Amino acid sequence: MDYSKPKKIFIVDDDTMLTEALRDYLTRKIQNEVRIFNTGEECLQNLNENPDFIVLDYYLNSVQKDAANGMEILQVIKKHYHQIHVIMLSSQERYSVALRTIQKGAEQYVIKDEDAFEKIAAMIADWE
Amino acid sequence: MKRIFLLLTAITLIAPYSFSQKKGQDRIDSLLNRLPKAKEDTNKVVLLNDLCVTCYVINADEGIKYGHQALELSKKIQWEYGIAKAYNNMGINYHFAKTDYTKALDYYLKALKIFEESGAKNEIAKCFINIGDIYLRLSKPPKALEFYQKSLKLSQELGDKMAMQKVLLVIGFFYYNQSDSIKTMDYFFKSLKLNEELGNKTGLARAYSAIGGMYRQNKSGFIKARYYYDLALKNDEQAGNKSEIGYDNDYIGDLYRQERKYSKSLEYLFKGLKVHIELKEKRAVGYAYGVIAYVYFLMATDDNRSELYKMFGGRKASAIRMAREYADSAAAIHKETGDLYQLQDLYIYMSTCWEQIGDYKGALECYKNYITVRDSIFNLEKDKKIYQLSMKFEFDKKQTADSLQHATENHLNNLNLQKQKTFTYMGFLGMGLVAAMLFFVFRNFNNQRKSNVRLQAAQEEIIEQKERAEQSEKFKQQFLANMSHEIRTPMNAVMGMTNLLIDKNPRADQQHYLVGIKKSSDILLHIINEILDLSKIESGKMELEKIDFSLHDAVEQVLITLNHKADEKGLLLHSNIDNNIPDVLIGDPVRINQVLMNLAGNAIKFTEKGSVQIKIRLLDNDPASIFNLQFSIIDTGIGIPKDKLETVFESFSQANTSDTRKHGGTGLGLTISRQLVELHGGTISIESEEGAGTVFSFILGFEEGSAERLQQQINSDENIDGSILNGLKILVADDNEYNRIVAHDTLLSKCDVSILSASSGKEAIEALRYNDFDLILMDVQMPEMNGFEATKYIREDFASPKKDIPIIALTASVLRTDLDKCRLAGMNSYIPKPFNPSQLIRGIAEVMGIKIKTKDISYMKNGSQPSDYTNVTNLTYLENFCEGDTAKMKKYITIFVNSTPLLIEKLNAALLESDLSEIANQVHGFKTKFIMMGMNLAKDVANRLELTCRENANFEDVKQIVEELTQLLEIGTAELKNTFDG
Repeated sequence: MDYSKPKKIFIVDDDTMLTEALRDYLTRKIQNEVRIFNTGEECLQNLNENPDFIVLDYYLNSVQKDAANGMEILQVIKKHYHQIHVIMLSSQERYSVALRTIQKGAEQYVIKDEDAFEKIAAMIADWE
Repeated sequence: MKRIFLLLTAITLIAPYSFSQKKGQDRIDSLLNRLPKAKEDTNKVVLLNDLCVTCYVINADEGIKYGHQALELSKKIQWEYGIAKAYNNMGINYHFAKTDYTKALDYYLKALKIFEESGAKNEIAKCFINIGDIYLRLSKPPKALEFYQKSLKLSQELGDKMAMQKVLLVIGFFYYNQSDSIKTMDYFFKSLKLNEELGNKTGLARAYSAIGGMYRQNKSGFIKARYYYDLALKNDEQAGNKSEIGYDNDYIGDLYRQERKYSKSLEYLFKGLKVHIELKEKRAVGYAYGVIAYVYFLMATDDNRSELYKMFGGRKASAIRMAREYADSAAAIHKETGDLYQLQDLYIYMSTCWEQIGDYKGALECYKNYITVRDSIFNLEKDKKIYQLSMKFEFDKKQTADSLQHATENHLNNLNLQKQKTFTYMGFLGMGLVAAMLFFVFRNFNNQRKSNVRLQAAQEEIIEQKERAEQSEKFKQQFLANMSHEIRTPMNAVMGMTNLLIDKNPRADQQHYLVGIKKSSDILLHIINEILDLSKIESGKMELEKIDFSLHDAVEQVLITLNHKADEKGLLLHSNIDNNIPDVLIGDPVRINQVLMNLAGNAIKFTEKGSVQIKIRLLDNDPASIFNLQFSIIDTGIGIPKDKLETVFESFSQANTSDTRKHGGTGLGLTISRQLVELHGGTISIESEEGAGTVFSFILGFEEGSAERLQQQINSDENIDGSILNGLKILVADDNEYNRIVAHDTLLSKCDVSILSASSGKEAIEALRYNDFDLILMDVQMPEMNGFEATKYIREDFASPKKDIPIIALTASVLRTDLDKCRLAGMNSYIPKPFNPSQLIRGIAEVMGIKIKTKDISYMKNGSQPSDYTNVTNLTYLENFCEGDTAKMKKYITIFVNSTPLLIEKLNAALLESDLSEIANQVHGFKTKFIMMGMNLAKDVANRLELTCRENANFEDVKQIVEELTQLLEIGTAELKNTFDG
């Protein structure tokens, strides 16, 4: 895989294993700048850093029940920072879910599976 | 049978020429005649293009061929119109004959572009209709309508009323398909009005016919339907549309059937039939026969017998006989034309008909036929569906750009096509589902709903039955595996005690019997293991290891094991390994050994004199540095008859059943071998000459391994530091003296421990009562009191601290359930038998909380584990992921280990509140972690748990699976902790 130049990436997921693994994966070949947020709210507070990409979990309140879910965060991001590319990450394989996120402005929808990291990395790398 | 009529109208309307093959052939003949005479290239192009479009009725491939000729010639003479026409006509072939809509669309669009450039508006209008039809078939009705409307508008601009009347009718049919009868009628009448203005009789006839069809659907619409059908007939007669006259008569005949005016119905149907026969319209003839048969039958069985009297003087049997005759003819023709849907309908109608008149034999016959046809349709549908899906996918790939833009409005304005592609790929599943849905919706509209509902119900039934069959097959396998396991446990006792008795100096005759028992139990155990292996492979649970191993060692092991058997028969058993093969390869030595053992053992079994050779040849090593090796097992035995060659790999089969008695064996060995080879990605083949011998061969690809790593692996086991156990007092309880000695000697050779032996559970308890030990190694199967009982006794009846003494089970079983039993009985851990020193030391250290010392950590690979021992975790994925960076690995393992208690806690909390969706969510979120830790089993269990929670919601089931998962998590966590605490 050819990674071109470093990008600033936010990963928003309450699953530590996933965020760590994804960060390692995305910074393996090129020094992408990756920040991890375990809740959507934290991510929103840091949007002024102007990331190129946000990898956003669809289901963000599995740990903190009162946390906002991915869809809500997505809408806020897109409302204020329309230029940020959002890659929606979800274990939902339902087409309707994917469509809904795309309708709300997500650029991509990735299902959490074995190939998810590779897909995300490829998307980020391919984006010019 | 009603559905055929409207459908035919729709097809004949859009397609350039109607169904008549005769007409088509005549036209082709005349065109072919004219072709050589054409002087100008443009004329040739026109003729070729005509041929192209005419051919679609008879032979689309021919048509496309002519299209390409026209295309090339046009390009040569740079005649744009010719090019466009060629594209368009080839599109028609793909569209109507080959039903390859993506290709058709491609061609249409190419044609359209040129037409648009050259401003050929009437051609554009035609093209729009075709494209609209394609969108309709690709389940995009709004798009279809859009193009129809475009065509209509263009024709309006051009003032081309001929084109307008046609497209109006097409739009009418579009709304008919959308079940909007008001709009349907509206457009039909608009078309009618235009045709009246134009005085276009053909167009009038089509409109009348369509309107008649609409009225026919009303109960009281007979008069009006009849009126319009009559008008259609009259106009077709005046215009000389022969084929259409036939259909018009069919419609009227069928209309009378609906009105129960059977003699009238037959009158028209025969008229139509005559036309179809004249024009050699086979399909239509078939339909007509079917309807005629039906009418005869209805006549015979109608309560109102006046019609029957009119035609047959009231003789029911005569009418039935006619019905039979025509039905048979219809069936014959449907078969000839391959019209399965009609055939299916016919058979089921016939079946109900014959049943109604008490001809159960006939009914059953037809029903059987119906089932056969239905099955083939089902298969066809399946293929078609897959084809449709793939087509739809291709299509969507192209079209996502604008369809998504619709969906996401202006949010996605900055999205380029490349991103879309990736999205499409991911959304494929979803889109596929939508496509499948739309496909069925489309089919529903296209065919009459009723019969389609029936077809779908039938399909569902078939699918359901198939699933049930698969389920029961699964149960069978599960049962077999469970039974085998259940048998294995007592078998251990049988074998153990037999050995004990043999050791007790039995009399000669007793010795003889005991040896008999021993041999039989060996065979039985072997069979059971084979069944377990097979069920493991078939259920996909067999996983291949990828570790460094020495090929020579693997073969040598086979030779050593089998040598005595070969010696017994005076056979030469030898190996021949190509020197160019690197000795250390990466693969699963245990399984390769198993295959070679099976095949070579088999060869020895069936060879009386001569030799058995294991030959390994290097075929090639491709650029990816995969060494492709051909393994051949060559014997000079009895050989296998040619007709049996194919069946030898089937379960439980031997060339001759009588052989079983002579040669023994389950007949599973070859099946397993083949499955194992296939699991490795190879295929096994067999060559044999009766009396001369047999060669089994298979080709497998291996990567070269590292001798260094292999050595390290061996070293790490050999170099395990036994001194860590120094000073321990250990009680070894095993009834098998050999095992006791092994345990004893192994431990003493590696470490300075003191050991006391006991040969039964009872002895162990007594020993513990009067001595202090740090640890007990306890065999599970022992006479008098087995390991479980002894453990239970110690845990319940002893006082602290003795009651808490660590107990490690020594067990030959590696099945989860057995291991669970150990834990249930209160044992701390287990060591699978047969064990090697390092396993023993590691196992003891683990339970005692002593850190293991080795020179490196390569034991993290599961390489040194015994044959079918499977860890709950497998760090290969993680290792790859971290590229061997142990610090990173540790980070992940720590995250995992730390997160499991929380998960377990949450699961239990959710269980208490019976919050199934919470369980599902929690488990769902954990799946990536399982992947990272290589916990495939846990992942499967998690999947099952999630599914159960989301669908079935049987609380007891959920509870059980949660327990299962919890256990896996605990074992996994322990395994992971060990990996890094060492």
